[in-house]
Amino acid sequence: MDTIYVEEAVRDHVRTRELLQRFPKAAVLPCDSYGEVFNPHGQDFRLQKKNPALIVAEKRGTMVLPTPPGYGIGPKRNFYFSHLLNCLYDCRYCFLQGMFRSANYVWFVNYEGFWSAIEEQAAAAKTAGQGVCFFSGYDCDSLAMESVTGFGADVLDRFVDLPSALLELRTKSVGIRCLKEREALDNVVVAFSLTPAEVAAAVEHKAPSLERRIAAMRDLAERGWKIGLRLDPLIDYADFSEGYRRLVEAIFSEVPESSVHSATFGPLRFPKEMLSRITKLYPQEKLFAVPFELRADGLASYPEERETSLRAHVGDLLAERLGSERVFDCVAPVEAAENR
Amino acid sequence: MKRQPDDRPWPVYASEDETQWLIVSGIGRVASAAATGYLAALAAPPRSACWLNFGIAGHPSLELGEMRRAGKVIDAATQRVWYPAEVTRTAPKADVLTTVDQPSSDFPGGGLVEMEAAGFFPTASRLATRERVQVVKVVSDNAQETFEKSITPARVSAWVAASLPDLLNYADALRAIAREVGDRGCDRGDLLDVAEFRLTVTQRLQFERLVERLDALGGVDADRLGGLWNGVTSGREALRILEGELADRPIHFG
Repeated sequence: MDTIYVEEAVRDHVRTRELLQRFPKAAVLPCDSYGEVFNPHGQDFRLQKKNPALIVAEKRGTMVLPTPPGYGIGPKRNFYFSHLLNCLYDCRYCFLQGMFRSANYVWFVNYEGFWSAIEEQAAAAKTAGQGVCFFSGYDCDSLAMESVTGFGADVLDRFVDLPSALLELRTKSVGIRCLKEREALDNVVVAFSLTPAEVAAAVEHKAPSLERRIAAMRDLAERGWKIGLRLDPLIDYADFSEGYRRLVEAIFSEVPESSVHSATFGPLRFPKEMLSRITKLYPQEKLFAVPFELRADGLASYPEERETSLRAHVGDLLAERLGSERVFDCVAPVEAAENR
Repeated sequence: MKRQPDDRPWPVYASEDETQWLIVSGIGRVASAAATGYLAALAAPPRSACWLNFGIAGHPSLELGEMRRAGKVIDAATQRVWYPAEVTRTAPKADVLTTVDQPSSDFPGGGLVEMEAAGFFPTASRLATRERVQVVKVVSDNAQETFEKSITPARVSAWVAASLPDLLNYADALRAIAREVGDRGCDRGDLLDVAEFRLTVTQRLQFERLVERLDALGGVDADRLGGLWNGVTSGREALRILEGELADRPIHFG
């Protein structure tokens, strides 16, 4: 980290102090609110990805947000939350590059606020006799910056005391030490985002290879952790059918079906304006060169017939292995994120 | 760099190929903003250009001659704040910078203090994104040596000369950024050279995007596409042809 911006409100927070001790050479610049640095117009997300700064901030307002209707992996109530905005990796299909003006990382250090909100929702769900799931890793990767944030270790500590609530840690990271260092928790799903190897190599820049992710899943499965398979977004390409077949085979050649909590898949979809912003950042990216169709709900996606066929194919591949009860056809909360 | 004709309102220098320009704004935010705007009009740089403000500043504790980049610019008069975004790895270390209207021996903001950045930055950031607008200062006075005693033309020249290798290195990195941004698009206006139809402004944009997409999906054979225009008399027809070309081009990976 060359430059670290620190909100005045969290200058003395213990996590801020620990961070600054770890990066003594970084330039530390104060700000009143992270939005001053993060939100102004006239920023170039693509350029900033070269060397993002870190902004240390306090999360205010609503700490956990409901997922869009239809998004879930079993429990009736579903929420997501983000201790970070932006991601170490640079996946070309990522909606964050169209949602945020800045590629700088915003790290919310007041985890206590997340825990309170989670405990509140978990208690409400328990009272109502309903299951509840909390998803981490939509505005960021849950574990990719663990060495800086210590988030994984902390959140696992909290969920030890919340056995009735389910936590999904969504990641592409193979930095899984915080999980390996402890006993597996029954109410935690470590969910890996996956695309076929050739797709991952071409568009998931800076992310661990598919092979390494599968090795990490196997390692965790052997230690008793529940694994989530997240095949979204589905990327259409010439070898889609065989590519996804090979992907599913590669996963299950290493990860026992019994260790898989759930598998989800979802289409590549963007709000129209978001797609336009991303395309302007990467005008020569082949992912955005194929025809997109604007749907009635304002989302741009592959032509409907094609999308249906992609979803059916991947749904069948997963159901053959896991049975349909563990396979969920989901739409990631990108629309909710865009509108919040 | 070569000095431009003397009838300019500010001294202006340009490289032989006119890809690098220097203007000496003089002291103060108004001069700095006006000189930036003037240079933009005079040099008419591409939208991908980078803008760098270089000068001297006070600092409460840094050694004289140290160089810093502004990571936060504060206008002391209005309390407006800007954050230039840094993306190179060769930039001088960042510090807070406060622009004041009068020379001062105080150091409001606790970092760099000077008189131009709050004029330069908002002007230049209308011309380029915040990563391509930077402010770099050499420390000319500090709490021990106040500006009245410290700043002489000879000393300023010596500090600047000593800073030049690092500054030029940083300028090279900014130029690389400018080239990268300039190369993002796909300029295939040549495809229209053989065409006999006209495009409206909107159609031209659509045409360029379609060509860009074709390019991304395996390239555009200019000769073949040129041939496709035979008998095409309208822009709308031309766009339809390009869309047809795109229809069955899947993505190939690996």
